[in-house]
Amino acid sequence: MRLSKGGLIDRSETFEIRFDGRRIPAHPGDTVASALLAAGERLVARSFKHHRPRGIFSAGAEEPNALVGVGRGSRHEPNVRATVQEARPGLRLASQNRWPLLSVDAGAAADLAKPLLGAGFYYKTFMWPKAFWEKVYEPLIRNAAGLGRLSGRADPDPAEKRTRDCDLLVIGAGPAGLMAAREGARAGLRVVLAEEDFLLGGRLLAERETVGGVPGAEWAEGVRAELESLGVRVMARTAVFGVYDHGLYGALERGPGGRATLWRVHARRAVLAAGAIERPVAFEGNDRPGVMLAGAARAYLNRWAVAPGRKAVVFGAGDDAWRTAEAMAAAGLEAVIADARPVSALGPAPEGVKLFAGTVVSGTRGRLGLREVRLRSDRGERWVQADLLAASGGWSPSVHLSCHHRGRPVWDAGVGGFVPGADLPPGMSVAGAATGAWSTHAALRDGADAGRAAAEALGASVGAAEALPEAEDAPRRFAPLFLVHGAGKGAYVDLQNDVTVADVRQAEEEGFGAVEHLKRYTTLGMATDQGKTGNVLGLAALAQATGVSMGDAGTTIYRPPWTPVPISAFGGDHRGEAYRPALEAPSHAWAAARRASFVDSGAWKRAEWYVRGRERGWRDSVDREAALVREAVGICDVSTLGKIDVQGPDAAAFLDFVYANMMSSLAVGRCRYGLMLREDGFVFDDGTVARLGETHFLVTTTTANAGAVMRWMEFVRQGLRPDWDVTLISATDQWAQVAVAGPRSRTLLERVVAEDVSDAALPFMGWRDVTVGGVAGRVFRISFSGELAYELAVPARYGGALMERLMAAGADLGVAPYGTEALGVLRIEKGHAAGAELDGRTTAGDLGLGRMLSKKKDFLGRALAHREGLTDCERPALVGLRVVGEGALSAGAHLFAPGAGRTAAEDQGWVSSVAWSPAIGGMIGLGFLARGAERMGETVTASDPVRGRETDCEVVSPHFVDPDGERLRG
Amino acid sequence: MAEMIAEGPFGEAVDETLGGLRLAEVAWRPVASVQPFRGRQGEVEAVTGALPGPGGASVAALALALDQWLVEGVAAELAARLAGLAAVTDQSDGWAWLRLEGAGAEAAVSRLANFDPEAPDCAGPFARRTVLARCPAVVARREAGGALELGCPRSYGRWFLGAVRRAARAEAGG
Repeated sequence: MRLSKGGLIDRSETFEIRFDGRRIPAHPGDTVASALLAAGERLVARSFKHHRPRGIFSAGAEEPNALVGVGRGSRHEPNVRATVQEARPGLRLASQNRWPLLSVDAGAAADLAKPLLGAGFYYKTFMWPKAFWEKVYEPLIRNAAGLGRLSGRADPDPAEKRTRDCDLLVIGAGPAGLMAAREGARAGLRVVLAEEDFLLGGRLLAERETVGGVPGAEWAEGVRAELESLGVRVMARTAVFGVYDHGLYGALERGPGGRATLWRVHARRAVLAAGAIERPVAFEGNDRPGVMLAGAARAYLNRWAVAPGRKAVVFGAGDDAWRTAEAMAAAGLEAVIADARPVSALGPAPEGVKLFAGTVVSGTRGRLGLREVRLRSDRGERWVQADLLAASGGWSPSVHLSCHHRGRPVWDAGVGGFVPGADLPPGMSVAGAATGAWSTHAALRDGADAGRAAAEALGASVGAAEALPEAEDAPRRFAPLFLVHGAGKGAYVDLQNDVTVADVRQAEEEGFGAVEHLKRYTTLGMATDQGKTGNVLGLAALAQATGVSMGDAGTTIYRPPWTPVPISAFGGDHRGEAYRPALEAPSHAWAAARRASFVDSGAWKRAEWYVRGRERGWRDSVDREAALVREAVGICDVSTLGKIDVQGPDAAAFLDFVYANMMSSLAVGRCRYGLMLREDGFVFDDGTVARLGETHFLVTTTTANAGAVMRWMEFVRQGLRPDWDVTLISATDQWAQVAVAGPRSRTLLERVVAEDVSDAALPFMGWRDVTVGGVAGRVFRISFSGELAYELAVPARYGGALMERLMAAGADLGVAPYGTEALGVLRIEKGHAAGAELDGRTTAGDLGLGRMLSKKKDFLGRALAHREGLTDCERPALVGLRVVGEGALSAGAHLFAPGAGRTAAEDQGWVSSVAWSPAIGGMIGLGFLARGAERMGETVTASDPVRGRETDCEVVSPHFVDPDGERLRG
Repeated sequence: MAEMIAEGPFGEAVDETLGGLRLAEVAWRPVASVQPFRGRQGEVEAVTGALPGPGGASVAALALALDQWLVEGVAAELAARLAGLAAVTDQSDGWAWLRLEGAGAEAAVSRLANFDPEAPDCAGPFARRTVLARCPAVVARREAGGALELGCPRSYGRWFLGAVRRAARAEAGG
């Protein structure tokens, strides 16, 4: 019911939200929870395990019950706390974990089966028959228990990720946080103030007290204005959820429309002013809709002008229960107080409120909502009618973020709760109710002190302290109240996980009485609320069961996130096409205009083939391109190969150390094939090295390994040989490099470059400077295809122009572009190893390159390359495979002797690369076969159980084409 | 014979206004990386002029790493003048550069970056090697109050432009 006046809502505007299809009126300033309560909706959810009817239990982030689905279709978000979700026009909400209806839920049968669903039931109840677990029991349990469901569709409003840097991060904008931010800002710090709520003020918003002579909410707004004038970044709707290394804090901001932004906040100091969370009391039936925290009831009355009930029992052992009863009475509602303390400890009852001293609540009634409350005292028991039971067992400081670096809270009997220990995250201090400072005055003082201390720690100039605003400073009168005698199977300590006092006792009886064991065995403190209301109560039940004090029982600690963070917020816009960058070669646009099909090669988009005329399938294009290179001339953009510029007096020595073969003997003007090993002796990468000058080299890497090789070389330079004077820098993006390959390639080259590129002027494995249409470039005479070939390099901005120039100059030579597929066919025909062969499992010896390992110098990987396992003559070695007959060959197939069993013991190797070879006129492959070099002419069977292929192959030399290398030297 | 016509790195000409922000391509100009050999920085600076300190920037040079600068100038000429003193590598085509200016430019970049361009150490000239929208990148300001320059390896150009444009639009309220 909405009260006729009061509250921090804008009554001038009314709009509708929908809950399970019902229209619910709301005002700006409402949460979903306040609007539902105002509309008389008490039943809003079903519990996780027992499907018990549940209502709104709190008024903030700690809510364990009122989880709803928000939005529809692809914008649906499950498990949203109704108590923090702002109401906005048109918002559609749906209850969760029920079928078919919230009020008539078939899953409620689980409540009847509660005796079977005690602590750890899934560890011991569903043991037989064994085969039933995966197919019957587990699906059944998963179906019956749970929270909301994801839509399964992509959210059309992807989250953002942003970064903010500050001197001081203040977490929480209650009285302590506001003062900390103000003092920090006044000292000149760059301050970020993050508050999960959409209003600043914290607990002040829920009370009717004044600060500095004005209502608390008004004072908070005044401070906000001052903070903004001082340049403080005030971030409302922003929950700091995690404390990470080096002053990095994770924060989730929800825009007014719900859109998420994940903030990475770098802070030199932080003040945790997260307040405190009220604790429930464990008594039988403490989970019915209508049972609520006393402070929450007060918040609904004062902040949202909502009566959470008409007839209330307020239960507790301290001031909070009394203040709630007073607020109810002030709103014209009926309230009685059940106070566990003896009458001698109590003053007179508030006006209009009946007081039952020395009385506890021992039970409740009401199927879908509270109807009656049972009061018990020395005088006996009685049932009283009530639709609201507001209970307060005391308050627990919000210590969660103080634990994120493994800090462990300690029990403070004076506070009546766990408070942060001394092992806080570096740079963090804690202020206000989060330390157990309960009065508003204490919170203001604590916050101001923390802000000033942070400023002093950062060397800022801190002026004289100003007088604090006048505020409530009454000593708190309360006795922590945890369990009512007799609480058992119907007394919940953790509402979200349906953990009862009986479960805790059972866990202890079964040997899981340590706090960490208790958590895992019962699930106490897990799920979306992470035990905000339930954890300490559960520990109290454990302490009682084990007969130890709270301090001796101890507590588990908290880890990120403090509040649920959708995985999509971590993902941000990293999805679909934006998931990762697509790198484009310099001739990309040129290739796209010529019907190139592109393939991902590492992060690059490379042309895999070009469709010409009426070619109907990729094989048509690839066969044509491969044959073209063998017979005429083709051009292929190979700019994606990594290029690393190596310079310095020790450049040659450095490369000798990095490569297995000698590089220092390379003459200026020449290139050399190089093999790089990992430290464990396996092959890491290969490529060519060109010596551009005495102290200047250009290293080429494979496309996929370019980044890894650069990192590795930097590690060697900085970490292993810092004594050498050598510099490295990537030049990959600087150059457009085009392979010109085929018997007519020299003719074509002579037409586009001004310099002499004859065999005498530019022999095989040579390079030289050239000019192409007035543009300075380089040409390298190297070949991956096995044909006479060159790689022509010009600055990248001329990549498309170079392709066009080569095409125009070679029209009569039959020139055409070829892609990576044809490149693959050509290199397999030639027996050149590529990524499939350099897969991290092969050695130089396996590849037939063992002689490249220099005996004249040290190099990385040398020691381990000679270990026994890597020099075993039984190791599979590179061979060529030629299909016998018409069968198909698969990369990844394993090799067996004909007729041998398909077992690991009989496995003799594998197929690494396959291609249809136009030059051979059949299917060929490269593979690794045990003692391969000795087995030329043998027949082996390639077995591919995935595709159901068994293919007989002849073992041949891997050099199918031009084994003597006459063509490439031509 | 076909002319050797240069192409920009972004696949399109970029010069647009997004709310109060202006996003434009930085025209191609010759730049080279300069890495002094050990103990030769003083001699190098005698040729290039003073080079900015780590994380710093000047009108003519950006500090990209310890002992590594991106310097305005023709690589071949710089190499000749710095022979034996520094490694010089042409990077004129290696990087693609955008200029972003106007109120909110820093906030727009904070949507992509893992650092805060609004922090005080970014108010004056600075150069930061970083990652923007998963691209290796440089964010720099050559003069106090000047525009932000955003650089990425050329091959990332089109993708990078898309990311920066989305961030600028988001900041501009589009």
